[in-house]
Amino acid sequence: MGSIGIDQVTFSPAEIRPARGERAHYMFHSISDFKNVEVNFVRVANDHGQIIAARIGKKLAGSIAKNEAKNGDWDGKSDGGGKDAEVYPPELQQWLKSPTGQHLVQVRAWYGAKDGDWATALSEEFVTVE
Amino acid sequence: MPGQERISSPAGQRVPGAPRTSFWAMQAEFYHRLKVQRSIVVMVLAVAAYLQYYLVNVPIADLSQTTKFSPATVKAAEQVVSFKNPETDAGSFELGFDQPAESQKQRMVVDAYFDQASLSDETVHKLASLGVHAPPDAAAISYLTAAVANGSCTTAVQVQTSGISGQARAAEFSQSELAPSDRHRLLEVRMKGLDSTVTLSSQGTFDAISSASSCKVTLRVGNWQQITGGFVPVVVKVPAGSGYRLRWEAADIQPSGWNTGGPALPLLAFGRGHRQSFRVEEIGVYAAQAAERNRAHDGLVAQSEHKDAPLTVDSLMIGTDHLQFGVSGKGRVLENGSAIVTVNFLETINKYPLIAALFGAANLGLLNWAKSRFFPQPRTTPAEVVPFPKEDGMKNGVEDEVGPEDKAARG
Repeated sequence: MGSIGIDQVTFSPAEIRPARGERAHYMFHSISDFKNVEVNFVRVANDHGQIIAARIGKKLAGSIAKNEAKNGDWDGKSDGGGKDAEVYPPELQQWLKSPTGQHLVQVRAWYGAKDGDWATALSEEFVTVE
Repeated sequence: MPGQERISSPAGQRVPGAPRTSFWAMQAEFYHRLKVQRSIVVMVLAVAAYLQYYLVNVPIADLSQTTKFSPATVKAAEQVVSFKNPETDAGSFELGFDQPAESQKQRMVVDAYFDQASLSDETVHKLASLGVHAPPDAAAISYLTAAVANGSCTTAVQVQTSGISGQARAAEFSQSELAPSDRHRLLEVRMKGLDSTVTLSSQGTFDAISSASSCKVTLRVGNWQQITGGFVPVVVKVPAGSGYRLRWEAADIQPSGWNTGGPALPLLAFGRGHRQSFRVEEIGVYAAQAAERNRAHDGLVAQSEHKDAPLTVDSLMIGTDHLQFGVSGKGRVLENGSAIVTVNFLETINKYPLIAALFGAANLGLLNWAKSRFFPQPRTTPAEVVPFPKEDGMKNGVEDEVGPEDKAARG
């Protein structure tokens, strides 16, 4: 999905097997200058009929200049849903810690300090971790 | 002329042996005929009259000559604007809303409503891969976005169109009702001769503790409903002629003290470059209830001069009770079927006495010429000089008083 600040977000291949050392590759392009960029790995799944989304990992990408492109790899591993995933029901905790599922990339970029205004962009493609 | 009758046969062929008359002589003879001259007079008068009418009613050739489109407004619940053959990039027309990243801009949450549409195959398959079986058939669809407390969620809308061959193409925008407050903006869209592919994509922040998405998206297709945490793009196929609506709501304004007189906002961007402008062949602002066939006679219409030099629509903005946009380019403007004219040329001439006098003299000369052709003066022949009869008194003693003219008359 394109954004006013970040566009051309790609995430591939469609399927990886981390156990075999396979990694997913992401790339994005900036339309503006940003001081801070964060790459979020988001898992989506069906929880009792409701599609939920949660961040299972993130990477800091530093600053980015206008028209610059950045890329990186993801090993497909989950951080288990953050610092305090215990607030979730046990099934959901299990899901967050599970090494498998469907994922996409969200790029979030701040113009200034991290508590200020930001722009986001999503990858169109899902990467399934087997 | 008897002489000419001897030269040419009735069929216009030269009689062998007849004396040759030059072409120019024949032309001169032709144009000296009274009927021909009268015909020329009628034609010249007609052309002059048309020219003078045109000079008083010169249609504008550039939209900058009228204030009707700087900007044009489309009243909510009363009017609709139609952009004929819209184009944002070569051969395509795209528009969308994406959350502005600039710090001064208000964060807006957008909902979308479709009268009769269907989810794309790709979306149906993506949802199926998540264990959700959405109906693939056409129905009324709604996509509603909300953010959980202390979180932030935005929805981007991207509309791509594809033309249907053989059908006239137009994008129509309107507002069927007034926005309930300054916090809201409404836009209704109907594409004619263009199928729409609308992509709705919601994303937001994650809870600091649980990492869960702050978005809560409710997708309804007919009676079927699914709630999601966003992050799953939904693509809706809208057939040409079917309407859809976008409804924006400011995300972080307190719910008290709103007013309804908010300014028009540039919420939409056009084309792949997210510009504020696009090109069209024709623009019409009509009464919402006007029948299609009556629109040309009941509304404001701007038509580009040439198809390859379209008009440019700039800054389409959405207010609480109106849409507004600017238009530039070469073309003509019709209001209720009548062309909007530029300055009165003859009125301008009258401001300059010398030019006005020359113009008046030219008109007078033209009329005199016409009069002379239709009411010719009888030819004046030299008067015969008749001598006065001499009286007897003159013979005796008054002869000396006879003037030299009389003497000359007597010879």
